[in-house]
Amino acid sequence: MPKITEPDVLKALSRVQDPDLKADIVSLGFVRDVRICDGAVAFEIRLTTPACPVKELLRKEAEESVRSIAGVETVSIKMTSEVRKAERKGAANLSGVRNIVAVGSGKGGVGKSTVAANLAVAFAMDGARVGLLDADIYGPSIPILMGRQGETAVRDNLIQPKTAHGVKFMSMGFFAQGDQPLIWRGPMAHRAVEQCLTDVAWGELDYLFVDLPPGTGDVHLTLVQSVALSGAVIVSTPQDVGLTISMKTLRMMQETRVNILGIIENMSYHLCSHCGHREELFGHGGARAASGKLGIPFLGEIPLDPSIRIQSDAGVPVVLAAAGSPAAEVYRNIARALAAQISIATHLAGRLEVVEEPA
Amino acid sequence: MTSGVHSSQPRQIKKAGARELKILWEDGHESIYPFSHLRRSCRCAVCVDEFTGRPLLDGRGVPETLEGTGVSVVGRYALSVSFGDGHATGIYSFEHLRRICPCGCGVDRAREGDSHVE
Repeated sequence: MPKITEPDVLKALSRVQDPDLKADIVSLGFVRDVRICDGAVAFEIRLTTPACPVKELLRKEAEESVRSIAGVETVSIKMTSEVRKAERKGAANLSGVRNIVAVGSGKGGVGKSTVAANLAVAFAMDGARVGLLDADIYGPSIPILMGRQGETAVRDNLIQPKTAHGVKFMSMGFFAQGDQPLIWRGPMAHRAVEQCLTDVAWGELDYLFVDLPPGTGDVHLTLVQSVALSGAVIVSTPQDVGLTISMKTLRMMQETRVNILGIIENMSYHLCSHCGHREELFGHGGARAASGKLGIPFLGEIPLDPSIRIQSDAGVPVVLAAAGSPAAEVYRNIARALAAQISIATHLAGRLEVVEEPA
Repeated sequence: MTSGVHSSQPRQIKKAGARELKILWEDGHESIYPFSHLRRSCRCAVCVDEFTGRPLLDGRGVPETLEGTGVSVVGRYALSVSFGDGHATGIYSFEHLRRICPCGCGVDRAREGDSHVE
């Protein structure tokens, strides 16, 4: 019987393509720790995100490829993940944060915070280390959605984020108590955003989501100028007016060269709880059409579903509270599509830095 | 984002001593900026009237020998430059930098690609 060697195994595996990164899994460095003992082959595939949408596909193809080598009897594959870091300079306390992703919208009331909270929890359910910063100074609602309110603790001169449902989070709402509004001019908002990025003990995170205020204001500018974002997600409703305004947020992101990771259409349709009839209250497909036109990935459509609202008010995002329900599944799929887009953006993005050289 | 044949995506950014900033663009062109030129091209609210676009800075008062004391990347889209005269409030978007390349290669670039985020 021919002896199986590591190059044989790698050659077989180099036929397996990652459909998102458009390269084979060997040259991407995914294959680790190849061990061969007679007819038994074992190795590890280390993906760029635990929320990988093609995890099962890659495992199956890898197994089939290696099995096709003469003499191989058993194949055992360990699927792991290591989220790669977007190249960026910045504050020391953010050094453990691998990707910062902004969640924006053109106008208020599109359900951006609900989407952000559910996505953050969905990523955590897939095994990622996730943070969520509520930077919406006008209507900080993440503490309600995550079910934890009250004051934050300060330890070692760092604000300690709260933790709920596997997600570390911090909210601008914690700077004011109860029903007190945050009445801030630009410089205050600027300082608060900076502080939430640099003076919070975020620790090691694979993804930090930043829930932006609606529109394009001080908070957005501070964010894009303080850190190099891995990218931004735009949440829109199907109505035209929502979309026109979302375009403005989109343009701002483009002008500041933030990768647009995709558009999510929220309140896309309503499924009747009695007869299951799908009613498209605000029209349908506006966001998908716009994303096609602009060449931006369309990440998915979220239905208007009373359970989303009920679970949000109860402080447990629907993706966890009603895991397995249609609404929860929609969120899980969007999270995985987004994870793929973040991996692609990180894979393609170059590092920019100023080199000093003597004259 | 990128208009025409010119790229406004830097491949490499070098601060060559205190007098020059060099940017190698993705299209292979290298722009060499004396810091005095950058100082005169500053578009911050102190140097250009925010509403009328009227220049507030008299470029003639900027010495050719003006030094650059620091250059850093802003997010993914611009540079921030501090000068020997203490001025440091300008944010130079890559679009703007390509347009003001001293060799004149960016002059024909339409102003429609102009970034307003500064």
